[in-house]
Amino acid sequence: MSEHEHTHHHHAHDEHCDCGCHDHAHDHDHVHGRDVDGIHIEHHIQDEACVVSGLMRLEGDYAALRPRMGARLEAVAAAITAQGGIVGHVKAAAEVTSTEMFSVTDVKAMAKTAPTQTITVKMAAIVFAIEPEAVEALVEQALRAIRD
Amino acid sequence: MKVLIFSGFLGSGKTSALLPLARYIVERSASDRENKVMILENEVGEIGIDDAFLRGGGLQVDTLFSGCACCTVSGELVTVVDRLKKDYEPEWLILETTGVAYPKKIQDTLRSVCGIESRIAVLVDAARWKRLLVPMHGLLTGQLVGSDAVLVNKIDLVDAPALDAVDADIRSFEPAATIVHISALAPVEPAIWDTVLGL
Repeated sequence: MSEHEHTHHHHAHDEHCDCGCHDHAHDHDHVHGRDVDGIHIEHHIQDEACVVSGLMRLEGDYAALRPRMGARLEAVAAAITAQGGIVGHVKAAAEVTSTEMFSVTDVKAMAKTAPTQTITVKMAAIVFAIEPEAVEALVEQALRAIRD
Repeated sequence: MKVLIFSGFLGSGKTSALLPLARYIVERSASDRENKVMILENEVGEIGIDDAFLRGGGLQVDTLFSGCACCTVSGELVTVVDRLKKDYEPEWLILETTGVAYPKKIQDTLRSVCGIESRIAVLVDAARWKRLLVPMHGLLTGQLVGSDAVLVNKIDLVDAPALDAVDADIRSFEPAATIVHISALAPVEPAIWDTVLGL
């Protein structure tokens, strides 16, 4: 079954944006997205909740990245709490693709494994009582730390 | 098609509990329908995390992204539920809400627009309940309204008096709900799933 199609309203923005999203009363849900240095970050407001999502794709060795995943999530949660926010949840998922090629040119099959894996890391933070820009910065920082 | 609205605050353990619940439905089903259980996952963000995890568990999952089925994407909810009913006719449809949803609103929408009755099961995180109750009071209590079953989760992380206090709070907010206790440390008894499903 395929995911159902959906449409969203996106726009680029910054602190000079006149969309009103930077006011203190947030009660709407349109999405603010940006791409920086291979990392996509976006946020929207759902009632009282600040919803921040991040995504990056990279080539590498997932075994090396994996120990950083949990540690970076904990760092995001700790920083949100330290800034007076309330953590609903901070989650991440890694989708890892490895390629192994088999071939026969004569009699015997040969196997070759691609030297790197394709890794998609997704992160989502749903938090309260903290400005979305602050959470975006933390999520971006966490993704960079996982990657770099 | 029977519908279960599976709700609860962020981090209460909805997605983790959903996998064994779905497996229980499949195992106990005497139906010869091809689709015994389908999951409709509502993600408040645009980038899904739980849906991939559930698909990895072998479940049929459809997703409503970027909004909450109780309000901002309630129109899409109606469309998708109607489509799943017509195209797949599952024995059970489980709608996993976002952690900021009010399940009673979803139930009202399904009843008034689609004519579909549903049950509501709400998960509560026993370990964080006391800490969150004051700052998140409106949301936590609002999620319990209209619930048929409340699963108090993570009971291994609290002592008996704390658990009694959680139960008492829940009863004060929704006296009609049946309260059951679960933990990630032990498999959930079939009788608990039967309570959740109203069997």
